[in-house]
Amino acid sequence: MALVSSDHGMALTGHCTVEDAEPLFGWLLDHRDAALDLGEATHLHTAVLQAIAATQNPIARAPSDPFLRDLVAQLTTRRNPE
Amino acid sequence: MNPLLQQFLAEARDFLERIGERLLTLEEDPNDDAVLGDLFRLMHTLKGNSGLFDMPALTRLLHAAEDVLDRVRDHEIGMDSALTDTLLATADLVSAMLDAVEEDGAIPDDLARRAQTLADRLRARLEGLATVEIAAAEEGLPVPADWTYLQVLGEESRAALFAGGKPLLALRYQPEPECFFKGEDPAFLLRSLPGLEGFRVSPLDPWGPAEMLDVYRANLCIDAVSSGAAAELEEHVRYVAEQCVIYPLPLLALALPTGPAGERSAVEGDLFALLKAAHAKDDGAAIGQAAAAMLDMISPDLWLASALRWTARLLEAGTEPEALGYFIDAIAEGRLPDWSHLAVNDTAPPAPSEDRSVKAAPAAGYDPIALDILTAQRGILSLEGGDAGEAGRREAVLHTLRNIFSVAGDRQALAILEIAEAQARAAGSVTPLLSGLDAILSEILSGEAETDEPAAATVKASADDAPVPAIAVEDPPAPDAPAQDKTTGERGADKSLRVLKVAQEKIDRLMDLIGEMVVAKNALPYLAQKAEDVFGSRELSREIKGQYAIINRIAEEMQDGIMQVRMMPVGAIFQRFPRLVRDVARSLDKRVRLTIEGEETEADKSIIETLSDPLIHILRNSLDHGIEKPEARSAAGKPEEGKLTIRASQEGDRVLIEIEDDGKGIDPAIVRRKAVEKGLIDAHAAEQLSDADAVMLVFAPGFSTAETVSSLSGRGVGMDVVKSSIEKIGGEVSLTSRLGQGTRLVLSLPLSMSVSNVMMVTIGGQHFGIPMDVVVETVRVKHSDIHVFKDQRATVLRGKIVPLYSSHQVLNTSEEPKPNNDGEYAVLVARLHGDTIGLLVDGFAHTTDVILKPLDGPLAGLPGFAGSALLGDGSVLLVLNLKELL
Repeated sequence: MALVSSDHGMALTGHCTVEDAEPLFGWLLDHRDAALDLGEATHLHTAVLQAIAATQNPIARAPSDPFLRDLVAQLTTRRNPE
Repeated sequence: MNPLLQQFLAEARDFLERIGERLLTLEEDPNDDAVLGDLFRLMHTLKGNSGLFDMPALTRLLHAAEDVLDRVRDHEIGMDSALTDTLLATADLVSAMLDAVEEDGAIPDDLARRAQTLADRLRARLEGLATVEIAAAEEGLPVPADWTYLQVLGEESRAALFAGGKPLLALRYQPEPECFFKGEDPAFLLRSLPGLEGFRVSPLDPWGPAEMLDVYRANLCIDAVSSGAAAELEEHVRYVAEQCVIYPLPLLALALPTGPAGERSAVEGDLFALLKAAHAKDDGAAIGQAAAAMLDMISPDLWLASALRWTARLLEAGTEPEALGYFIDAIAEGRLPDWSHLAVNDTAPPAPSEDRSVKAAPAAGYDPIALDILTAQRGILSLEGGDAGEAGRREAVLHTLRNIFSVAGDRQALAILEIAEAQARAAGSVTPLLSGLDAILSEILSGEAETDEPAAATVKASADDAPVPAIAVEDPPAPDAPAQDKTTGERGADKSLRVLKVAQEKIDRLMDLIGEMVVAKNALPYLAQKAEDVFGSRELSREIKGQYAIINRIAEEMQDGIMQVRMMPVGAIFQRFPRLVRDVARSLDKRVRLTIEGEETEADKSIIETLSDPLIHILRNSLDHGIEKPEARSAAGKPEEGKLTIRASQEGDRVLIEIEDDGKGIDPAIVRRKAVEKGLIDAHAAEQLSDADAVMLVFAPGFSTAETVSSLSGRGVGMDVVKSSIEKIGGEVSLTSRLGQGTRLVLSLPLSMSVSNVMMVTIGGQHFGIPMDVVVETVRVKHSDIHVFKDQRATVLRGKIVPLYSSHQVLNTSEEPKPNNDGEYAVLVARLHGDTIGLLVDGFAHTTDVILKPLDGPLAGLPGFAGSALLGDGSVLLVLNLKELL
């Protein structure tokens, strides 16, 4: 299971597949301010990324994987470009 | 071989057949648009499918053919017989390549070279026609016109790449919205991209309210920079090739200043003046000094600092003065250099990329803020004017618009703006500018709403009522017809998926299994007999028989079902005949119309397959020796065009195939003479033959009536081979011919050869089977009725002399057949080659259905046996082939 939700946020771990996108998106819509912990994620499926990008929930911990960190950063700073 | 490739090969052959058919149909009516469209779609799909595999030679050839057909479809190129020949040759070559791939897994170089030649020949057809490149670009995304996305890479990594000097490729990948349902993960594809140096990911459309989002609809545009090889990249994205474009990225494109603008100071103006002056004198050192001096003074985070660092890097790398000048001009104006523009002008063929940008621009580069600004600028323009400030306002607005359009890479908007500006200056009014801006805005908005709309159509529409006649700068490319066709083609493909394609081996295995089942079930009556005889239980015996009846019924239905699967229409082999007839007729300068009837008649696959070669040979014979040249025909009072008919029909459990021509027929006199000359028959016997029998002599081994052996029918295969191969599958051939009027050949074939009805006879204490189709009757003949002439025995049956053969002689058994107690011999009367003969045997048993298996292994070459079959009691029955034995 790649999604672990707690009171203060949701942690995505390991390889998040396309199957995770729907539940994650639902959760994010219900918790618009909850933070995401992506520190342990090794890969996020594009659909998962889209869910994160569209909801723009705060990211508590960026992915440690450099590629993923860059990807998430590009998709979540869209509303306030530098 | 992987299953996908296997399926492709099977499908591709199917496609080729259909392509061939369409081409021939077109030759009759070159203007049949439906067939043309069909042909194009076939070629298009075939090309598309071939792209799944690493067969560039094949794909290139198909692509060339597709492009040509596209033009034919648009009536830009006429369909003539030379083109038909080239396309048929293409189909042949593709077929050869497929064979090579199937056998060796790769296309040999010589075929690849031939493919290239042929592709060049096809491409030559396109020369002189405009916008060829668009057809070539049709399969992928357009190259993005705006390269400023590279900013995302960060100055340091770009500087490292720039200094590294390795050639770079850029990839734009716009995943189709439904890609997730196809199991694609664009992010993963990007992550594993060979030589990935950096990327930019952005939403295709603004995300909008999160609640409205469909997360399973891809809405991303990915730009990536790679230092990998083009082939690697293409290989990597081959499954999504049509959603991608790979283009070379000049290192210059990396030179993009980034950072916060900071305050513009007066010093800056001086600096740029200095830089420009130094550049004008081509004084690199001065530029470097000026830039370095300024860099010391300002914060390194500033945009200007970044710009100056890039100036230094460009200088260091020995960039061409022109490019350097462009860069300095750009930074002096405080805008990003548009390297794509420069690169296009420098290297790539300009025409296609212009077109591409026109197509690509509207939806791509504008974010909502830019649209807001555009609307605001329009508001400023439409303010009541007339005062002194108007000119200044107009200039400011124009400047802003220009910047927005160049950032968005919308070159068409820029062009429209330029024209509108000129008109506004001439008219001294802002009206042309306003309508020009309106046109651009409406295009951008409509482009976002519906990207499928041809880009400039809306511009034209709004331009019509605005007083700006010249706004539609370029005609849009015609609505993308190939793309539309592609979707309809795909829809068609969905439908045809209802048909299951199964490898023949699987059916053959079922056939073998059901054969064993039939044999196994036949053991039950033996068991019932045993239950009664050995164990004395009649009841059990009856029960076993009851069960046997049920199993028997099911097994028979099953057998029938499997045979149905193996049945295929004879049309499957008829398909290639129109092509064959056309080619042969052309090479012989004859005109022939081929009519095919009853192609839906079905027969077992193995029968159909063995039929193919004999039929081809018969057709060649008809064309070569039967049908005369047009002059000879009209001299004989016949229409110049010869008629050749192939007709298939079912008659009982046999399939009849007739091949009829209206040619010169066979002259029995010539046949007689030839047969005597070749020593096939003596002169006296030849005289005795009726005309009908005489023409049958053409089937005699070693007979050929052609005066000269032509390249077509004289291939060392005579009609005798045709006859023997037809007979091998249990068929018969008959020929009737009327001199001067034509020849008619009838092949009569069994529907299926898997189950044979055989008569069992005892010879030398052993059972042998004899196929029922040769058996006429079984009789008992008294010893006294057998007459011996020399060594040959004979008897008289119903007033006819029937030669008798002893199984002892024929099979070389140890003893002569013995008469029964009444002194009568068992004689099996059979009909062979139209003659009635008798075979003396020891005795008769019952008839039975068997699955006849040809002898294989060391026994394969054994003459005289049709094969072997397993009997219900587990014993093996050898089935004789009397035609070979006697």
